[in-house]
Amino acid sequence: MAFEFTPERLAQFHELLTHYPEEHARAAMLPTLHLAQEQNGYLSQDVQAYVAGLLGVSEAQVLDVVTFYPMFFDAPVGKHIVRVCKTLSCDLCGCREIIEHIKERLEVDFDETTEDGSVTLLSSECLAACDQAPVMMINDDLHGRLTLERVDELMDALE
Amino acid sequence: MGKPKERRILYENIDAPDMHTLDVYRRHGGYASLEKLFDLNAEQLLDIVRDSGLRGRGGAGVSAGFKWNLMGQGEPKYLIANADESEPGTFSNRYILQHKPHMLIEGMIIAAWSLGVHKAYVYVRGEFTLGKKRLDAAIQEAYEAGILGESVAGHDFALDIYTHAGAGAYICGEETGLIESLEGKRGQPRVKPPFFPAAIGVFMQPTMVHNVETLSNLPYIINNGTEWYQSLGAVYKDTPRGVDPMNTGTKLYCVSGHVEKPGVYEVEMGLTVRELVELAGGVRGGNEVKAVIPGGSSAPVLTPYELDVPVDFTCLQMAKTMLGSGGIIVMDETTCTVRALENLMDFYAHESCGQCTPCRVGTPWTRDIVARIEAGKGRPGDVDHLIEVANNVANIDTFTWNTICVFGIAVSWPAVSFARKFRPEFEAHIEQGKCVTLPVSEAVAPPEENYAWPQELPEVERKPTWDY
Amino acid sequence: MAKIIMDGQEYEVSDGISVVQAAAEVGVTIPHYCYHPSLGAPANCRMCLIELTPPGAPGPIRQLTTACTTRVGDGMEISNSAPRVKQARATTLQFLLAHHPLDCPTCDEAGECFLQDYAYEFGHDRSVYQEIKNVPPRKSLGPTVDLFTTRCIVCTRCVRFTEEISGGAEIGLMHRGVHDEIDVAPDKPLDNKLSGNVVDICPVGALVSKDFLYRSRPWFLTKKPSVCNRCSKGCNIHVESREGEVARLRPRYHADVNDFWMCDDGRFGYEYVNSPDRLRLPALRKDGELIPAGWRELLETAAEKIQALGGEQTAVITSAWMTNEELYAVKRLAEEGVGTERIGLFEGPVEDEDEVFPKFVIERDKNPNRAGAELIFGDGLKTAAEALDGAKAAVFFGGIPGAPLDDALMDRLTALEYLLTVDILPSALTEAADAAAPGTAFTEKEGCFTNSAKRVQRLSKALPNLGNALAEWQFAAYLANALGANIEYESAAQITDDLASTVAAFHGAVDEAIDWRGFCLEEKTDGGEAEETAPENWAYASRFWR
Ligand SMILES: Cc1cc2nc3c(=O)[nH]c(=O)nc-3n(C[C@H](O)[C@H](O)[C@H](O)COP(=O)(O)O)c2cc1C
Ligand code: SF4
Ligand code: SF4
Ligand code: SF4
Ligand code: FES
Ligand code: FES
Repeated sequence: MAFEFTPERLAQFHELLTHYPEEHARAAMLPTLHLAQEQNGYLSQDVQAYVAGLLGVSEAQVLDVVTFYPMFFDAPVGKHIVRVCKTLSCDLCGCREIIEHIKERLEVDFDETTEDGSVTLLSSECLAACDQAPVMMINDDLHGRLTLERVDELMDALE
Repeated sequence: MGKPKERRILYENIDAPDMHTLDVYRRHGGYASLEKLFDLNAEQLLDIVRDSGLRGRGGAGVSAGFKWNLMGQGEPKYLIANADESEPGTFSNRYILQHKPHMLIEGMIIAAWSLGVHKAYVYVRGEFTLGKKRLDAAIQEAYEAGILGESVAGHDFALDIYTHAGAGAYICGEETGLIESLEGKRGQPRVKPPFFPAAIGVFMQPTMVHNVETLSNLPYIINNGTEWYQSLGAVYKDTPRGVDPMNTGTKLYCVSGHVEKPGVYEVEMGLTVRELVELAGGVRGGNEVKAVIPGGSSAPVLTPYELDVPVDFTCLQMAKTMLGSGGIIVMDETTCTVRALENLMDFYAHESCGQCTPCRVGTPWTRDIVARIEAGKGRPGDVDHLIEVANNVANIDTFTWNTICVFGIAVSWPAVSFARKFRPEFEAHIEQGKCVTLPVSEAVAPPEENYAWPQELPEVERKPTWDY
Repeated sequence: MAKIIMDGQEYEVSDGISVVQAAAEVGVTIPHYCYHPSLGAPANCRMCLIELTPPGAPGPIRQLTTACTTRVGDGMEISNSAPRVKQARATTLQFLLAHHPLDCPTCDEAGECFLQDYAYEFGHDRSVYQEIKNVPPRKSLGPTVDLFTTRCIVCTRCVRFTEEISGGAEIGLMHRGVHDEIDVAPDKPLDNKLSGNVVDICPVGALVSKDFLYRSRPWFLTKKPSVCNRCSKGCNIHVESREGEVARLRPRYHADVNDFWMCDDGRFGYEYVNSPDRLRLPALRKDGELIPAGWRELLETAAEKIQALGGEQTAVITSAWMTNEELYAVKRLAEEGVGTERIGLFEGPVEDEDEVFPKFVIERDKNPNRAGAELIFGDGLKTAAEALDGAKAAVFFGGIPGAPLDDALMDRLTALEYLLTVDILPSALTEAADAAAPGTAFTEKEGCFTNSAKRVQRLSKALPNLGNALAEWQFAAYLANALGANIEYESAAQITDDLASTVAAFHGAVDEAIDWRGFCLEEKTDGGEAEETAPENWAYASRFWR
């Protein structure tokens, strides 16, 4: 079955379009892709073709955007997305140890998904929460001042 | 001289419970500026903003009044709040979105009315999920309360504000990259000239792009007047106000790294690096400072010799670095500066949009050289090679770049400054073929070899409000 | 016009054009990759950096400026040679070459590669890149084009072409930073009728034509300016040949006709010219079989037959694929030799609609010279069917590959008592003829086509005639003379002049007046020289378009 927005999301999409001048429907690209990813988990070729159709652009123009922005996935990902910040302030505050620990615990490297499909581990650039370094995001939630124990708690809660 | 003291204005009551809601915001004096605003016309407002000395908080520090004055005449015009906060070491916008979103809305109303804008966007960093949620809710409340929409606060003025989420690209913080991204494309910066946003911006229309913090200053300037605002900030002895580039107001400094109490500190501009570190509880465990980045990762690093530089636009520029985004990253004696630079170069290599040749190729190249040195595979001459390659992307000595946007210089600034100022530590890596962390006194190149220091800095007048 | 100073010398150039174009106008090269005058200018390659002193400024501005996005203005000063300009270009090249494979020995573009050229002219003499090179693979972008990813310098010309000119936006720039890669979306190949152009605009050897891949090193090719024969638009082209065969066709700039482009119908539509089946020898039917014969024999028997069956009963069918000169010679053959009013036009297909792209139109009429035929023959021109109605004999000029004859016409022609064909490829019709003469393909012709906008444009003889083939104009003259006329032409150019002096519509279009930009019959009628379109692009094209 080809991808389609659910009626609610389709309505949301049409509301989104009103944010931009009529002749610039393409401007709704990022929000539309976010919406589609929310529904489908990742942006399959199917989804991209659908979005291209909605916005009146070519599929290459969608793929070009999808591959530019790290928050868009063009391949299936796990149920949970874990992003660990690895930039300077977090590095100064010990994120390497945290990262090693998570990798060991999940038995994955960055950009990989656990075998059971539950977690995709990503590295992230500075999450603008350096005061809480080291930090990570689990799905939409930010977690700071990480310690190995705290990480374990959070990971336990995921399973 | 007492201990440095915070002066909260934007961050006042930011921790108050439910400050992100309209009710609580109003109870703390929110939206008061709208009472005065509509009695002022565009010209008067331009004068106020210009006279206040407000300078952009997004990085470049351009006078807001100067930018407003350049706004093109075409219709429609747009306003964009830049909430893409991604400069490593910077996190003050995050808390405004999460805890005081109405302050941003109020600031945007002021800017929109002044500039004749009826449609405004907030480009929110994709990872700011809570911030966006709170801001969306605040906008919703504002519409319901008649503060936004067809008739703003009962006046004959329509304004719509929309949020637009990014998707994890640092370069979308650059204003023209942001505009491209807002138009639904990859966030590749545009060529200036001709694409100065104030002339040709989003949808090819005149567009004003401001950082969240810049806009958040506006309500306070309207409420309290330019004189009040001018009274805040650095004044140099023997220099009449208004002659020197202004450093008025408070600044949200984001202090992180090896300090006891990392966080956002709002102080008047003019305090020194040393004082800000002290404000943040000092270096962790009483350690020695090795390096401080004063204005977000792109700003050239400062050595322990340079900690008495006042952290304002003018003095940091004289010290050949910049206030940038106000992100202060403190590194103590345990830090390996090569590893720190490798970390930063990794960031830049990952975030280069890849559009223009020097940056696309030069940034990862720089990273590779640093990584090699850090991994103990450095070769004699590598430090100069590193400096040359980085300077070929953008030359920090002549302040010229061959790139489309200033990301180029944001790469070579840290690269060259680290390599020069911590040259002994870099050379030690190469000589010993492994990572070695030298004691501070040995790691830093002596001041006379330091490209920026010593410098004659203007003397900043101390104000009673700065200390307690 | 604007006065500018470049490297200390004063020049007059067209006002408001880019500095790259202005320099080209005065014969100076500013090296560049991403800029193309017919595409948007993203200024991403950073090769064209110059030192700029804006009009009235006391000195050069601190930053170097991209010549591609700077428009000239009166009093502007430019340095194309300051040490820092040279240094900047050398470092840009160094960056470009850092990831570039040393492929030149096997690269199609070698010899016409701007990376090679500029590296030689503006580059450092040693490589300082010691890190690991990025080596992504080669891939197919569509039926006509392959991408050697490693050679790409990410100038985005190809992306902009598909967005701005052909409109389908099939090509995109994927990923980010050093991982940037040109690609198409899965299952959405570059498959449109303008696809071949991306190969021409690629400044390096990254995009290659599957048709041409490894066929020849460019320096072995002989290149002749000509005109495409696949529709009535008349795109200006170069015919590039090697050892008597067409190796490829490429567009030649024309401001008023095709800009820098041509379509794939035209570009790849030349295979028939190289066909081993091409007719090479005159042939006569003897004892029911076509066997090779000499020209004299063919001409004499033809004249005999025609005279026997009667000139008025003989139809002369001319073709919309013939040049003006050939058409005029055929006209004289019909009038002075055969003495018939049965003159019909054989033509290739005409589609219902033009194919319209954002900035290019492929015309519906697949005949390169209908306009010429109509102007030369005037009202006397009938359809082939009308001309043949009741005729006993015919001289049939074909020259259209695939000989698109409908059954009715075919029946009519084969039912004739005498049929003489002049054609280039064997077909059911030539097989049925009483005499079959070999003619010339457009790459072998001299003369002009008149396009739908009434622009007379010149073809040049890129290849020799095959076997014993005669140019159609020559054959027409010989046959006419065998029938008693007296037509003396020594060259196609003589006919051009004759045509200009006898047919009113062609007045002024003498051989000398038709340069490589053609001669517009329409413009001429309202008198005076037409204003030249886009002189800066002509200058650009002559310098950079190859
Ligand atoms: C690479 C790069 C990244 C930037 N990132 C940000 C950012 O995250 N937030 C921001 O407000 N400005 C950022 N800027 C600065 C903007 O281009 C722009 O100057 C600013 O938004 C203008 O606002 P202001 O006048 O209020 O400072 C960045 C600039 C560059 C070159
Ligand atoms: S300098 Fe870097 S980030 Fe800026 S446009 Fe060029 S490639 Fe992109
Ligand atoms: S394939 Fe050629 S035209 Fe396209 S971006 Fe690469 S170098 Fe430029
Ligand atoms: S448009 Fe017509 S004339 Fe031009 S290349 Fe195509 S077929 Fe040939
Ligand atoms: S460095 Fe990790 S949040 Fe800023
Ligand atoms: S040609 Fe000017 S930057 Fe590429």
